[in-house]
Amino acid sequence: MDSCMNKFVTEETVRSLQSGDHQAFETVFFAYFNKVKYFIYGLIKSESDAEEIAQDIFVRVWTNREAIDPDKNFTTYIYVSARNAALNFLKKRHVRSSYVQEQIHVGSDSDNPEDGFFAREIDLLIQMSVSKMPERRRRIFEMSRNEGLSNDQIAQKLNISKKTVENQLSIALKELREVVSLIVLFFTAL
Amino acid sequence: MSIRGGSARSRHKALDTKNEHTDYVSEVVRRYFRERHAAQVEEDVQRWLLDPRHAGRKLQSIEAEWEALETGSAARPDRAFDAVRARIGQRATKTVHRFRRAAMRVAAVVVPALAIAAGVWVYLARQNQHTAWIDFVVPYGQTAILDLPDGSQLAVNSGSTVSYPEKFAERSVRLSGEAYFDVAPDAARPFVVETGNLTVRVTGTEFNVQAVSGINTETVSVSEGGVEVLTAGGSTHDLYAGDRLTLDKVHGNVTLDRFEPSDQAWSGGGLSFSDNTCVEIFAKIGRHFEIPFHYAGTCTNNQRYTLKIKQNDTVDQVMTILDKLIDGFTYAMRDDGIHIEYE
Repeated sequence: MDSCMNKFVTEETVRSLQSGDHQAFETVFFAYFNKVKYFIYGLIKSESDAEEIAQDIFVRVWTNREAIDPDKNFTTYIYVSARNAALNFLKKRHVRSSYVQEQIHVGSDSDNPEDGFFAREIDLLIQMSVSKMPERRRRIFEMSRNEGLSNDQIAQKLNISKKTVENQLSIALKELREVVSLIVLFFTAL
Repeated sequence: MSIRGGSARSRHKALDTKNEHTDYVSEVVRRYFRERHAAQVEEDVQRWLLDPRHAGRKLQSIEAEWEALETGSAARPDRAFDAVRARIGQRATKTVHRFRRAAMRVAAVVVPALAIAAGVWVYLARQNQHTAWIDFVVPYGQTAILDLPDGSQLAVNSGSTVSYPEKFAERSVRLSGEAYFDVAPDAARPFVVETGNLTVRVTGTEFNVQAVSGINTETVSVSEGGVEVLTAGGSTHDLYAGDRLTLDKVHGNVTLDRFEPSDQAWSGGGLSFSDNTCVEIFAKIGRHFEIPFHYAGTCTNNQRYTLKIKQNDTVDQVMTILDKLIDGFTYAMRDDGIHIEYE
């Protein structure tokens, strides 16, 4: 669609960039800016901040151009810059959260015994699926799961039939089952 | 934090092969990265991303998203390029900006004469302690273009007032009425629009703000880029292209929905409605044609309408169309304005 959207930047372009060639900078910019911006957006979920961070990255590409190693993959360089900038942004955003501070002290040892457990991941997958459910189904599901109400109680509260509650819950569970097979165990226990 | 370290990855490759359940990690990353979720859920995932557990697997999954990301259909980032080039001191934009600033100083003097002819007047008002504010007033029945000193351009709808500091060091604008904003990018200086109830913060984008007295809602519609909206109630919302936020001024409720950006066609002349109730449509038409509307009865028609009115349409033509389109009212054109009677 756009001839400037080159997929790859050649080693030669990176060398020209290093020596201060404006044209090379333009090539690099249009080859990567959108990818960097939308990648950052995917991680931080704020387009205005993603735009700002992406621009900062390209300002740094220019000001630090002499430090770029043309023999190394330029795409990797850009990717690592974008990833680190996005994660730093998230770190700053959540720095006041006690949760993160606790976790920082847990340490970086990836071989710790918790590695075998994915309760947190499964919980997040459930949360994401639930947040995508239609309003009524979500409400019924949350009443059942979070508030521990029986199907009768939910039906009464929402002024709908028990059959509807059952149907909606069964659809909700089916959706979740597709996402996480373990959820079945979790739920039949309820 | 280990999540940013590169060395963790190689260790995790080994772990991966023996533990297939690590797929949960990439599944969380994939779904979070590719979709939007409720704000609370997104925050939880963000904290999880920063959590060092499964750090190597998280990094791998993030890299997989980078590799899979296709941005071929996104618009060419020309404005971002200009902004970046200006920041690193590469030619072009700097001189353009200087030129625009100079042009504006002249315009402040010349515009009153020109503007009266155009039916638009600019006058200095509100001697704020430090800076003078300029009120840009667009009378009923007209629309006007306002070029701000920073290069941002506003299409201001009829019956609207835009106020901005003469020294535009702080990019701050107050709006009563409706305007379409094409904001010059400048990441270092956010552009802020204030209405009575909403604060919109942007760094470079296109969007529409409607804060009309007499209409019970204020709306922000984003056609390009993204903005952050702060409501008088204290809630903040990030909006992106195609997102629309509606604030109910009476109850304080905020509604978020999508719209077709082409519906903001009024900024190019004419008048357009997107998902408006008949009450809103009549109010807007009254402002646009500067004709008083008188109402009898209560409107029970809550349907929403989307339509466009061409620049040259007369109020008679418009009312004839609305009569056919909208149920539940009759109207009469009299000397003192248009009388609407709801059935």
